Amino acid sequence: MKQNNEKISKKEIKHLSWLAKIELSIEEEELFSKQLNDILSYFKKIDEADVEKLSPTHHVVELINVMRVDEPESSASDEVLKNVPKIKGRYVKAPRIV
Amino acid sequence: MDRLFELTAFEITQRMKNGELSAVEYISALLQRINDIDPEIHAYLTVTEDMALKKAKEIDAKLKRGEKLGKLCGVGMAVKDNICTKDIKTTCSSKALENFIPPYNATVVDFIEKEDAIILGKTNMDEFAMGSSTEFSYFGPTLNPLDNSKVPGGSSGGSAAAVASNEATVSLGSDTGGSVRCPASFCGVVGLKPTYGLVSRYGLIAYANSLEQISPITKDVRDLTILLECIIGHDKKDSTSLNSTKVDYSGFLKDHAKGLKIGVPKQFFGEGTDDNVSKNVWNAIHTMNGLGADFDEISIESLDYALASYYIIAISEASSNLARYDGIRYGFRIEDESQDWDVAFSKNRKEAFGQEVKRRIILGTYALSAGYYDKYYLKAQKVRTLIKTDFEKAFTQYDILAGPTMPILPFKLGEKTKDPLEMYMCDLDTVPANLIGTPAISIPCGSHNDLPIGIQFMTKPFNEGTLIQTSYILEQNLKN
Amino acid sequence: MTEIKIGLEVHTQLTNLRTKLFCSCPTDYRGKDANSYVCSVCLGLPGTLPVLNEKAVRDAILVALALNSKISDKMFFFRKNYFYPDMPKNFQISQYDKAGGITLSTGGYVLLPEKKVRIRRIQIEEDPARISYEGTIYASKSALVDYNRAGIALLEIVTEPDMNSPKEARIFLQKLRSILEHLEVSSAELEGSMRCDANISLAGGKRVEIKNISSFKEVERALSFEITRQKNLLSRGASSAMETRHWDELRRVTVTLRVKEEEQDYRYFPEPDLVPIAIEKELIEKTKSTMPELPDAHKDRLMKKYSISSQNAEVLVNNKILSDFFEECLKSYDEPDIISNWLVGDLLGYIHEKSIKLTELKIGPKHIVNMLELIDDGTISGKIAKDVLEEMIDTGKEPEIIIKEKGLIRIHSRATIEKLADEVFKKHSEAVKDALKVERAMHFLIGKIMEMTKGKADPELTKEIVKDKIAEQQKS
Repeated sequence: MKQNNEKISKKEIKHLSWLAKIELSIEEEELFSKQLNDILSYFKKIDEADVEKLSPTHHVVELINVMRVDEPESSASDEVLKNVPKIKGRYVKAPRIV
Repeated sequence: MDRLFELTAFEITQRMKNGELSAVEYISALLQRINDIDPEIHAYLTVTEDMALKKAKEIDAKLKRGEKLGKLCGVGMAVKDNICTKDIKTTCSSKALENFIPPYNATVVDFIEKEDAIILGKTNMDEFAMGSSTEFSYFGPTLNPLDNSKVPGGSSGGSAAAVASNEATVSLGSDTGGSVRCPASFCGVVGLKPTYGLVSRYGLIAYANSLEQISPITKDVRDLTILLECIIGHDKKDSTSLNSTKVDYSGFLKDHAKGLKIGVPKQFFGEGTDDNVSKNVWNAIHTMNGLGADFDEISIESLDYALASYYIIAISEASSNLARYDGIRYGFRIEDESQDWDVAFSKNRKEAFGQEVKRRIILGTYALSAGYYDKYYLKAQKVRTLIKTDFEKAFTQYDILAGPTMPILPFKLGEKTKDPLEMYMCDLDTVPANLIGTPAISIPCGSHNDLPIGIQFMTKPFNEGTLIQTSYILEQNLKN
Repeated sequence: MTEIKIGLEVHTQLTNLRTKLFCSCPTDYRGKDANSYVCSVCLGLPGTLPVLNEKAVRDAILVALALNSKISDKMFFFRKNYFYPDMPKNFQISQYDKAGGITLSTGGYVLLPEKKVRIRRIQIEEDPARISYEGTIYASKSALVDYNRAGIALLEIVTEPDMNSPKEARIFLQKLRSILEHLEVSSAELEGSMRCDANISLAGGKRVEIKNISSFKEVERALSFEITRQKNLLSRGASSAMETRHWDELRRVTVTLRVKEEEQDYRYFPEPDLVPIAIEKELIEKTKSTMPELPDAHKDRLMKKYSISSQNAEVLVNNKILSDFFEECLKSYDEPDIISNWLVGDLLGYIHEKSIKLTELKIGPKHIVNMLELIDDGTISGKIAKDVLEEMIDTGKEPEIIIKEKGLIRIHSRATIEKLADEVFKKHSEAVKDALKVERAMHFLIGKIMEMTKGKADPELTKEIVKDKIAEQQKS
């Protein structure tokens, strides 16, 4: 995707729909095309902020090295599979892959 | 006879421990109340009547045997439907999870159950916590109990409405950008977002993980101290969970405000703030002043960027957090699957998600994508640093920063659903606390035309005690 | 000479861990029922969160040290966002070396006999689930997903394009595998534990990525095919596009993946649910001190201590289980050359032929030693021992039992052999005449006796007897 335009084109919306795996109707593509650009225009506010030299805050907690011991715990795997919509034997069924 | 459902958690626990109240009687009263008014208010999606009564019977039996009971002894609680409750449907108000039954409890649910709270049911919300009015629920909106034509706020609208209408004594919600403080303000109840990391997120179905916390909603500040103490604590299942020392928050229910320094950022009263809101909040600040607190008007310029920064980060994280909803392991699954997996996924998710959720996912995908990551997501995270620094500076001079929780009064149903940006603007005053991970509280401070107005207090991390102290004094004073 | 550049991306499971990378599910899933080693976390249930396995970090540090890679002071986990039916969350928790990301380590190298292959980076990430099909992939109406493997800890080791032939790639992989086995962090014997994608470019042309290579043997095949394919293109004045191709093991060709209308974009960003990991110097030093003997040092030691050939030492070191076996044998039978020859030649050859894994070997050092002792005391010949070895490998039975069951005991009795010799002499009078003239022709007669006894006659004794008889005849 090129960075030339400040706006999201319909083509980009189709690409985003593919990336996010959400099929959009023609009406939705139309609607989003307008709405997302409106929202993006508002987001552009942050362009005014002088933050180039700052490092990003990815975590507000200042924790490091949180880890756990390598000790197995059994879990009720049948419980955990209870919500699977389509199952075959003990396998989870997914749509076909070519 | 007391209307038992009007009692506070403090009153309930006192009476039960004194043998003056039976849990079954009290819970039955609450369940009846729900029966009577929820068909209209629609705060609840699931009412766990049998489980609640069973638990109530157990509590009464324990009381009879003279056993010691937990801090939330018998208290009837509503839980937002994005917090996992074992064997109880948890839907996030979405078709995507309309029949999802978690095989486990959120850690916070384990905590409150250990303290003998009784879960009454799961409450309505904006789908996947994306919204400020609870109008984006797949199961229909919740109404504001104080005025049925108005929204209760969101996204924890159901939890706030339940407490406001006495359909629950206390409730739990989640706050990502104001989702507990906003409905607390609109429904005239108390809501607090804790310091990020104090409350475990394990079992909170993620919308924006670096921003959100499970948060308590109560009728008053004293009840808040009880519930807050029970839900904070380290959880080894959550890598972002802090090891915090136990705090007795009830120790902050003091009767004075002497020495308290309050900063009032003018940006919280910016363009778009309703005059009546402004008036009521300033009245409250002056009241605090009369009670011994000092205040100054200050300016935090980076607040201008807070809303944009918040939304960019939230929708980016959301686009990734919601990728898992493909209907394979749980949740909604389309019938027809004669096409390839990628088409099947796309069709599945098309049906599973409401429009606001789709909008945020698509835009969030854009903000993270190649060529735009630096411009949006990364930049927003840098703005976050700027805002954090500015607030840290402010907190060296002021104990509390104050302002309205919401810039506007509770609005009419349908009023803001046409224009997404208009809805997002409601969060102007609440998002900073999420961006920087600091605690913030909303308590009622007045009303206009019977519509409640909330004042928001913010403070530095781990300083919930000062929020409680400040809120308590104001609350007690406004009662008189 | 066309310039060929090959780079590899190896994914290896940290098989020595007892739990997965981000949850406490057990890891010994091979052979277990599908979806039996799963929990809310590795299934990606809503509301669940990852917690990092600290031993995974230590094992990863060991690998980075062994590959001479520079370990980062601080590392982060990133999300790699993409959809696929084997992805529980439709993002993989991984690491990234751009956008502010820092992986476990950067740089490094592996020494091969003829060159040094540089490492670009090493990173830690989680394995996706396994997909199988009802019937063939083409006919199947659905995919069957088993999440036992989902969340297993993987190391991704990326090399520079320093290899110049498919053979070099194979040698690199063998060396890498040997290093990992010596470290005891990853056993390549376990099915699916080491996978590899290859990148190849010819004559400075576009880089082609080849995915879906299931074993190291296939790597050499896939690369060879691809070189041929690209050379053909070049000879026609065309060149390969920069693309990703898929290795079809059955048809032995690379195929272009379905031409996508859209371009993939992983939208990497820091994992909000995990905090940074600071790798302190003390941890590195402590881990260094626990470093086991690596292949090069191991080979030197074997050669110096036991004076075995470089070739044998190389093979033993490439298969650590075998070298352990070798040294164990030596404890009760001090003949390094003999043992190494048997192990490297006969044993390894046979199990490769029968596709038996070293980890599945039914025999132990005791079996080999006993067998060798039986050769020494003349019970069986070296030739028969080969059969005994194969039978031992197939059944796990002791050599004495096999010899008894199969009646393989050598014939020692002079009387018996003399009788047989007489028979042979009678039958082959012409040969006897030849033998009287030319000594060498005795071998025919010896051979015939051996034939009659199906090789069981003691060869030395038989030779002696035939010699004597010829001598007798000469006298008369």
